[in-house]
Amino acid sequence: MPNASILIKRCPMLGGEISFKYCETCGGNNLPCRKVMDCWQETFDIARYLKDTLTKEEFAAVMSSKNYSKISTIIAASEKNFK
Amino acid sequence: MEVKKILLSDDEIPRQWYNILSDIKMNPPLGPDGKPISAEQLAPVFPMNLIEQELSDKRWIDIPDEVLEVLKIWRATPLIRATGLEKALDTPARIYYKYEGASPPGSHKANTAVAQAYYNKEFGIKKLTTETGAGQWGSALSFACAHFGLECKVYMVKVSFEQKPYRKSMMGVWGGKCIPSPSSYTKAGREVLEKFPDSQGSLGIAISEAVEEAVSDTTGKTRYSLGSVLNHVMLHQTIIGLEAKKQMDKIGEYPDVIIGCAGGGSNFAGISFPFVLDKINGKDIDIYPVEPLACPTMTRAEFSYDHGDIAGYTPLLPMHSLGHTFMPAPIHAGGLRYHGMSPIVSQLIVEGLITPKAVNQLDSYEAGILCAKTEGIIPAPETNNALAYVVAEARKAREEGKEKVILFSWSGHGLIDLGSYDKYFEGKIIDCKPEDEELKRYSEILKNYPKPEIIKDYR
Ligand SMILES: Cc1ncc(COP(=O)(O)O)c(C=O)c1O
Repeated sequence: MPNASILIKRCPMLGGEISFKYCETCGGNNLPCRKVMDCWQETFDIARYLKDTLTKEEFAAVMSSKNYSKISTIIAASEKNFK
Repeated sequence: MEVKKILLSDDEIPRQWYNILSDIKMNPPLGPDGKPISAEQLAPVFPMNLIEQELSDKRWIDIPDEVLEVLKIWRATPLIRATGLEKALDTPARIYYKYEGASPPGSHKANTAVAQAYYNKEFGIKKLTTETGAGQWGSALSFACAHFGLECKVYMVKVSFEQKPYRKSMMGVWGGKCIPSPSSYTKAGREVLEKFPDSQGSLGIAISEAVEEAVSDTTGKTRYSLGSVLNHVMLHQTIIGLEAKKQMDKIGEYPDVIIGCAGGGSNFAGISFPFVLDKINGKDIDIYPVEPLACPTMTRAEFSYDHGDIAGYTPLLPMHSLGHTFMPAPIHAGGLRYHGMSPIVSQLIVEGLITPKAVNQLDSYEAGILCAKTEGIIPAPETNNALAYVVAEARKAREEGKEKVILFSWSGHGLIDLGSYDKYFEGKIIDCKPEDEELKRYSEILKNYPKPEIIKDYR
């Protein structure tokens, strides 16, 4: 794979250029972003890379797949904290 | 003399927003418990008057005078004919754009920021919290809060906070307080920092922090504000398309093609929804939301679905319940919801009223630079996605010898994003297309993972 530190992409969620290094750790529990496959599959063999660098459990966690909408995410955060 | 720009006087600015929910059917959004979200669940987060708008199916909603007073600072935005670009492309197409970069914070986001600040103020709210990625939305909300005397606190994802110091300065001038997230202000932020002191943050964490601060204010005077995705945000943006309609009418034009870049969908909604109404009523228009090919949400199935990675609250799920199958084909499955995209925009795709397109990064920057040279304005990098598709359509018109009328939204200027252009010029932004071989390899790797359970809101 190409040197990860030189890989840069504009993150459509943030609205700015970030390096692959950020994508590798910005998901929950410092794991890769849940969209890491979507964003980098065009650039290099990201699936192979993740398989090689993550444990089986971590890889599964990144691939895990409940589809919550933004509003649902907000409600979840609200219900956790509403006093 | 050829017309370059079409203006509207203050008293010609539309007085009502268009609510597309009166013309399309949607299932109610589902909450974390899988049940339709109720107004009561939304009440700690948003003021009731905005919740009513969120759920309203009234076709036309009055724009309050107080909102119009502030919008008038820069609205109506000009409708500009891209004569320079037309010449450069030698196209028979007539290309028009709404210039939303004219707003004080520099993008269309101010349209909803002003409306949201007003409704919160009306409801007795004193402080708004929000999250921002690279700062566009945080700047817009700070600007709006200043006009209505509200306090504004913005959690900005740390990686961007460090990259874009001018965004914090902008917010600061308008009185907004911009905090790098994760922060020690909230439980969610502290938990992340404890576990990962070097965390560069994420949008998920920033949302958690902003929502937490809003709902844990025991005085009930703080609410949270979101700059895209929600129905009321789409509603507030329709002023763009409604103005465009009046402006085109003035010169006897009507668009054949409408184009807008789409992240959460609000800019696209703004320029297109009033024309989607015409399409529903029989007009023949091609309407295209455009996204980056690199991280698509509309044009290709996602590997993984929104995990709601709220500050690590999401448990690592056991193996047997997860996994994916690589789906290289574009999504056509009715009702699949796209992460981070407005449910209304998703629904319009499903109904075939609009057709999503994806463009690659390099084409986008190239188009943006061509437009900067020919039209003068340096576009926001998001706008470049739309521009790449405008250029493609204009070239197609030349090949077909068709005099098409193209309308698009120039959602923002790029003067605070010049670093992105530097990276492009330095050759740091790269694009590669996957080879079939490569795609096959992904499928191999992912073959043994069970199919994901897709929770659908909209069927
Ligand atoms: C200038 C500009 N255009 C477009 C977008 C995309 O967002 P949305 O799809 O909600 O309009 C953004 C988001 O920050 C933006 O800053």
